[in-house]
Amino acid sequence: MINLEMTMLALSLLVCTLATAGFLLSLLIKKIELAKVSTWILAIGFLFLTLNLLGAAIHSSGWDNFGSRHFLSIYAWTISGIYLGLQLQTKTRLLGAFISPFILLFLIAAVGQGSDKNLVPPEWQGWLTTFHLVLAIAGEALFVLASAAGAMFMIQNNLIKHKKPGSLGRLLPSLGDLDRINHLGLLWGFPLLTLGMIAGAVYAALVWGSLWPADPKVIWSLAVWIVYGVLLHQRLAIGWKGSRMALLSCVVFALFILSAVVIRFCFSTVHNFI
Amino acid sequence: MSSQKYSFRSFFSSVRLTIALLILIALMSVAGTFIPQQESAHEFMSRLTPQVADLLVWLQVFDIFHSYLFRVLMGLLSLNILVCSFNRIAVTRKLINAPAFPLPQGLLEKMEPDRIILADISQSDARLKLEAFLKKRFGKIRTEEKAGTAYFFGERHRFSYLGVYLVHLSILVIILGALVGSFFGFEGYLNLDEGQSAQTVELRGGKGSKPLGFAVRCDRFLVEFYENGAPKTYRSDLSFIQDGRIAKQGAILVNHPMSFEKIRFYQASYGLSSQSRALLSYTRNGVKEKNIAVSPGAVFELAQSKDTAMVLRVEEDMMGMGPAVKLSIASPRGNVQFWVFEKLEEIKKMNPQLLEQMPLFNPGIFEPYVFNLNGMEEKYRTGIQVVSDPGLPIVITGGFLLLAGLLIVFWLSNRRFWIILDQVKGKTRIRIAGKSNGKQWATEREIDLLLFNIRKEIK
Repeated sequence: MINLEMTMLALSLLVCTLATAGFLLSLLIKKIELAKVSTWILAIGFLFLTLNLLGAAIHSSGWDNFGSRHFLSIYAWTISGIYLGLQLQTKTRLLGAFISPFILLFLIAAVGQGSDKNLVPPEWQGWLTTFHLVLAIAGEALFVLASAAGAMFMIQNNLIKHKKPGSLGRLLPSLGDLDRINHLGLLWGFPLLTLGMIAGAVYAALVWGSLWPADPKVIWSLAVWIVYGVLLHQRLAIGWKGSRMALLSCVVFALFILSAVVIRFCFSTVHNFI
Repeated sequence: MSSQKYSFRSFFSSVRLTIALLILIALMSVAGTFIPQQESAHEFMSRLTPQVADLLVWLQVFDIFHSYLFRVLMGLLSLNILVCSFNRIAVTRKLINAPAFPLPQGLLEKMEPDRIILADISQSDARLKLEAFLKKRFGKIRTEEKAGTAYFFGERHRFSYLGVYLVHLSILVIILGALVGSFFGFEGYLNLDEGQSAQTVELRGGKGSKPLGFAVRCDRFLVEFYENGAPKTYRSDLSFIQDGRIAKQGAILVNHPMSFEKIRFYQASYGLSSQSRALLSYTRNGVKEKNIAVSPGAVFELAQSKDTAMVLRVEEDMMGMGPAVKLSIASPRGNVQFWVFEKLEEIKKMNPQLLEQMPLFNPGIFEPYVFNLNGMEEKYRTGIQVVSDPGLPIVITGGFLLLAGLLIVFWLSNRRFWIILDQVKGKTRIRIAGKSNGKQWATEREIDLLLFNIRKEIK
């Protein structure tokens, strides 16, 4: 069973490498057809990844025994799933060139030897922990998507402003689509992350006796969550959109990455992933 | 006066204040991860000069989340949210009570041709069908008739305007819960030997002790180990005694706390009890004399002499070299202190020169006696974390309110639709217009759906 899971994971890595190469090449030679093909290839990779996760779910110790392999493959699965879902509604094939490298990175890390260890100590395993982890990962993956769309928006906007639409400009999705993806990413990501954090807080309250365990990861995530909340508030209540929103979501994303790096290298935490 | 009042209100209703406050709160929280907090700060403080340490303590740098500044920021944020919500009431009321008729200006003028249906059925026939269909679709509709033109109005999620208030309320509830917790809650520790009971707990951060109002007794403590010596599970059987009677009994394990009188008890740690006894024996001139079991502080007289030995320490694992006991022997020859290791032979194998280098480790240094440690009669004490947080249910409720509010704000928008029925050039004409406070694309899609269904209905 484990072998089957690993085969599926390896297959999805292979296919996603192909898709990423296709996306990047299509950006380079400026042919949208290649990106279309790559989207289909990515869909196959997504299928393998789904099978891998299903296998882990059926496999008795799979889900409660949450390891960094799950953590990373759920990350990859969520991002590719959302990207593919978006393709049903919008024609933003080239967004793949920005998204697929992230997916590939997560998959490479997931396949790596070092990620075989079990990260959630046995006494913490349970459905609430899994629920918390999956939701938080999904929420963060959506923020990755929102920010990738924001970055593309800025490039496209810059091209239009300087009247250099050229072939790249025609290749990139329209500003409206990108703004909408940014909006959707925030709109879905925020409630998912909120629910994930509530689940974590409930778990901490039940098990550790403190709603706010003084864990650096918890506090940093809360800080990033607040900043994302501000961003969303400005979008919904004040009506910020377009380039200002795109720029800000890139800045906040940089903060998000910074928090991940700081936590990885500066602190010891109960959330010791990757 | 009124201008002052106005500026006060406008200051507290500005979004800039909100952002500044939120960023400050985020920064303070993050700072709290870099600066050691509460107990962990002691070591750090000891490295500072007393003046600097005092200043930092006065600034509450080592307890950021309970500091006055943090509470003031929370208070300002609450005030900010309250004023903003209050200011919005008038606008929201206007939005909720917006009249269905007359149609908003410009809605008909910029209508696209694909939003118009021309049909060959009579106007009265179309009207009946249309009304029935719209009632089914929107539940309640409003109609108006003017100069041979019939207007229908239907809408969705009018109360979605209140979602904002739910979000704001939930944040206030969370802040309230946190404040209630920090003012009325406490966190402390209990260390209990088997059979021992306590009525007060030591508060965290050296803030004194707190009476519980009842007694907790540890009836039994169990610990199981893995083969490598790491603890596998440990549990304490507790009795809660109130008014001289046992009111509740049960076991706590790691991740399986128990609560009594709204105070929760968590299995946090365990350690060697001061009642643990070491099983000592000694020989005099090679002749075996006695077996004794001792605990720290015990004093015993050596056989065939008036010299007394005192047990200074009993260690379960001394510097990674296994169990050991530290003795101090007082005699007319002077005072001698030394360690007795259980695994002395193994230690000597690894370091044959040990006893010459470290006379302190020689159990035969007080001649003619040689001491042996035969093992430990280990007794553990349990470490229990005691928490009372009356704010907890409030914060959790706030969390779910926040989620509900977010879902309403994000996914429900007030969509208003007008369907106009009249006649042009002998044909019945139906036009549909819509307006929403949120996602326009969703409204457009719904209009398309309405068009599709109405076409089907009147065929």
